[in-house]
Amino acid sequence: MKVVNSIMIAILIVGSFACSPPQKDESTGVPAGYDSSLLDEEVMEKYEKARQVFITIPSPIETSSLLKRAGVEFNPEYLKNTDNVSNYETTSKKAINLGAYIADLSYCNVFEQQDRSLSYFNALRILGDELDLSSIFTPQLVERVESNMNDQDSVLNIISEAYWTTKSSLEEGERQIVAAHVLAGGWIEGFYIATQIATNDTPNELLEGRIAEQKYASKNMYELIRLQNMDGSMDDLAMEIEELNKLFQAIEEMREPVTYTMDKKGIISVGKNIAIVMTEKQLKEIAAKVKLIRTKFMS
Amino acid sequence: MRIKPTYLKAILFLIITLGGLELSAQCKYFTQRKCLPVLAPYQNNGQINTTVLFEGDSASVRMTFFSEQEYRLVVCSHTSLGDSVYFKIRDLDNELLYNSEGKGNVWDFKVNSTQDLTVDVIVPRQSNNMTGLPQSGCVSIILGFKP
Repeated sequence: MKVVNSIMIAILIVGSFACSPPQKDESTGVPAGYDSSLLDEEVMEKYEKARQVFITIPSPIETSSLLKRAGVEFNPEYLKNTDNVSNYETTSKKAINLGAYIADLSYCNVFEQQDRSLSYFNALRILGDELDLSSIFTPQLVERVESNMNDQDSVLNIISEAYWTTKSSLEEGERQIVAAHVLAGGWIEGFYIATQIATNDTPNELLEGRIAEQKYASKNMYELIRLQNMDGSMDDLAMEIEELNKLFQAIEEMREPVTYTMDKKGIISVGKNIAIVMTEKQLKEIAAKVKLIRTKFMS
Repeated sequence: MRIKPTYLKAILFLIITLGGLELSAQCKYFTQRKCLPVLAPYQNNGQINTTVLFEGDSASVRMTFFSEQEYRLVVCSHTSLGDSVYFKIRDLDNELLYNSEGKGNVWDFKVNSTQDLTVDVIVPRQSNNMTGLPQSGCVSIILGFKP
């Protein structure tokens, strides 16, 4: 009976490790909801290792949407060439470039350039196969895109689904490092496009503001990489992201108290009013750093 | 019959591994079928966090919200966890901005300025659980926006 109890408890607790971030009861140090007498040291140790808070990074679709709202023009010069898809040899290069291609795909579709989508979906299929994600990037997925080519919302839904199922499949398979590379690739590529437009194309104050606001995403990106880099395999990327994050954290920020307002449509607006002030020099430094990271890890 | 410790460990490992994968797959299916439709007409931005929680558990997700975007946050939980699952939103200074307790788990909102917010999902213990073991179920935290 004792053995059965131990197995049951272990299944219940460890079964949730795949993605659960359990929290500790502050007073007892025991995971909330459990009787401490039922937990042996080994289980508690595993529990502690699994304890975490989810950290998220803005998705490529949202980053592209922000670019469009800032009123920028589509510029294909900044996109990655899909001809290079067979050149990536290591798992980390494949994963980071898979994220980058999803970002380019999002950018094309948000800017209604659906005709460019197919080459990106085909590149994703190749990388998906090599990363053991062929159940996501299937020929049927490409067919769905082809048949919905004129429906922007449908294609965006397909991209969104591919993005989150990639992330969750990798995490389920205990491949968090690969997942972190995909997220990093998506964020860096979207951010590269934004900074290139801001520094080379028509000056756009709104866009510069959006770039400065990536200060939060940069911090989250750095924390995510740092947390996943337990074996040191991401040292190079972690170092570059850390340097980028330092540039971001130097951007001045002023916070005012929380306010609640209602817009004309009845949508409530919450949170502090925060002013972020980025100088032109800071923008150039950040743009140069992102370009360097992209060249180093994604070419 | 006494089972050798080595075999017991192997059996336990298999049960745990397969059980974890099965739960994750079920959560993905649950999210696609039951949760994503609630997001309409908002566009899912690819930020979906799905996990298995037990009664008495809580989970936190830190997300960046951008000014001028209209968001819909959906916290969707399996019926096994009862209907009292709720969420709280706090800002970077830990100031409480919203508590969904008793108000339903779909919230449409904007932020005054771009900022990171933390979404805490709380699964209260169920008073009618007579099994002695905590109930568990999938919980999905989904963010949508208007493109």
